Amino acid sequence: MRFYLKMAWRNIFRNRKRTFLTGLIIGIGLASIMFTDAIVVGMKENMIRSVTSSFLGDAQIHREGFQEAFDSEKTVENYSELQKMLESDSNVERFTERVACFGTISSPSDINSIMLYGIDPEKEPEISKMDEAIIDGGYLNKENNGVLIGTKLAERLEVTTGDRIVLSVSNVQTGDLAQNMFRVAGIYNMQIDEMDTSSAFIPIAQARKMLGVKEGVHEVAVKFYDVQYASRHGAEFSAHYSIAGNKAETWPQLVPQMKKMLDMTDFSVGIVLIIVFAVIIFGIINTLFMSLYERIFEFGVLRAVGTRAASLKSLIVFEAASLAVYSIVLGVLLGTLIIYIGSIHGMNISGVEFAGATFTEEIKTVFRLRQFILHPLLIFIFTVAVSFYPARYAGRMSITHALQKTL
Amino acid sequence: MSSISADLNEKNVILAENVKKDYKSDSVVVHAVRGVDLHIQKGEFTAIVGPSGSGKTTFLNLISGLDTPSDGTILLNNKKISSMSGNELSDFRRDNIGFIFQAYNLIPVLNVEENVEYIMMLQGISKEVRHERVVEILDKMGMKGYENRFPSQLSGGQQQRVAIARAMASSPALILADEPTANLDSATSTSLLDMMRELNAETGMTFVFSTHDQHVVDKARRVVILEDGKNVRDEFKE
Repeated sequence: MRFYLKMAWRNIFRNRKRTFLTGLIIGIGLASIMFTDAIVVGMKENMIRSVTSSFLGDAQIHREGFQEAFDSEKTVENYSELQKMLESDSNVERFTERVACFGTISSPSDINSIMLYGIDPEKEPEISKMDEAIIDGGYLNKENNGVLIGTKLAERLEVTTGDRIVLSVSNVQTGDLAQNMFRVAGIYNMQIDEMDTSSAFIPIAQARKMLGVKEGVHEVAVKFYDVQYASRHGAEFSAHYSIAGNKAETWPQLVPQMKKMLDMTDFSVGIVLIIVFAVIIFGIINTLFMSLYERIFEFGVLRAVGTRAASLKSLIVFEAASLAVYSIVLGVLLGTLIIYIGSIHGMNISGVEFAGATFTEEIKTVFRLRQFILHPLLIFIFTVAVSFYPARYAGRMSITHALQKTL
Repeated sequence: MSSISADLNEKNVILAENVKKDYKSDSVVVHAVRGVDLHIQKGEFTAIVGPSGSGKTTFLNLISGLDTPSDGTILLNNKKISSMSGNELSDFRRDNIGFIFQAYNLIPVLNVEENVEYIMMLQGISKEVRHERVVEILDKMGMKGYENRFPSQLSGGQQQRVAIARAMASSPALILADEPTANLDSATSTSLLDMMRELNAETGMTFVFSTHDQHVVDKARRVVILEDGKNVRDEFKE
């Protein structure tokens, strides 16, 4: 066996130029597969972050039925217990509580219906990019009577920072209209139409007071340590926290269209990878057959002197395996280089909207272990598998016919 | 049948009775060998000669088990090779026949030592024994010191010496040589043939050549002439 391995390794370097070119073709194929994987991982993470880190969070917990009609009475059950659970959850990096209700916002010029959110000014920036999205004015603080509104809403209301507006909501306790005057503390641009045109944010304490929900919470936004956790373990999280009348959902459940888009991306990438694999495989078969036809006489000699057909077949398979190893080394080096470059110099498509999410960061390649294990292993397995075809041909050829070939 | 049984004795290395080989190409049947009878005994130094197309290479392929006859019987070392399976034939050739082909029949990626020890390696002989045998036979061939050279670093004559060494390394009963001097100059051919005659005398191995080289004919002790697929003359020399 070792003897044939040695022979195989030497055989592939008999025609160094051809082996290098073949290795390079397979290597480029492998590098492109690795790069495609890395850029898709980067793009998906970017898309997920664009959706989750703007305001949504990786997961949210509401009272069962709250989201159907945003009924302000439906506050999260047993929040203090839930808080303890989240604090002790090793997958949860941070969380924040919000209150949310329908309301109106009015300025001297106009009035608009909105979704009013009460947020914790200190904890919210750890979950969302509310503070980073402010383009005019400043962020909220706990004490003041400030409100944050989107650029489009500010235009419609014809207000700017420092201007006064009136927020109106329905008080849960009395059922009466509760109105309060606020000053526009900041104007943000989230690049999410719904947020920029019909949402407003005030400190949670003010919102609770207006709504009359005391310490009530309508929404708990959660951020995980691993951006992929929601995709992989969303069901576990939902099951764990959907208790006592509460409902926990991760972003694939909250934004199903994004999940479908990512699934479609995986499918498209899968098709591309199959095509690249097919090109590589045909390249390998071609090279092996070229090398085989050149050495028909030699194979005839080997068979004549007593080499069994199975041994000759194993020699061809070993040659393919050697070629695969050589190509994989080239491919991994090349792949690592381009992924590394891609991880530093990303593609800037910020501002582009895709599946309801707006890219806010550069898309950069992301290293994953599978790029260095799974893809090279697949190349190796495919190369060895396809070599059985020329190996079978070599094992079955007539010895006398082979000995007549003296190229 | 009676003659075959009668000839089954230890002296016969090759026993061919009414051997025929037909090739079919589309609707045309080519009768390459048309009924050859030949007995070759141990220690013979025989040349099978004839013009191109006379069937000598086909006959050599048949008696070596590289090809199967359309009709007739071939016994090699008293074994009927036509009834052997593929692996049995491979093992039989490995253990009983040494092959020398026209020049350029060494494995290019193996050095001289590896080429010579290849068959012994197939036989499962230990590395130490193989090495001893290789050193011994290369010395005999005048190729001592060339162990680590590759075929491309050798002349045609040197390559054929290594090919002879490979054929003889495992001490087979029969050495079959198909046009072994075809690509060599006259002086090299003569030198190689002299060496093979010496080895034949020294070891008692049987040598059978297929050739139309007059040098080989001159050196052979027995000349079998084939014409149109039949042996027409069989000359024993003193």
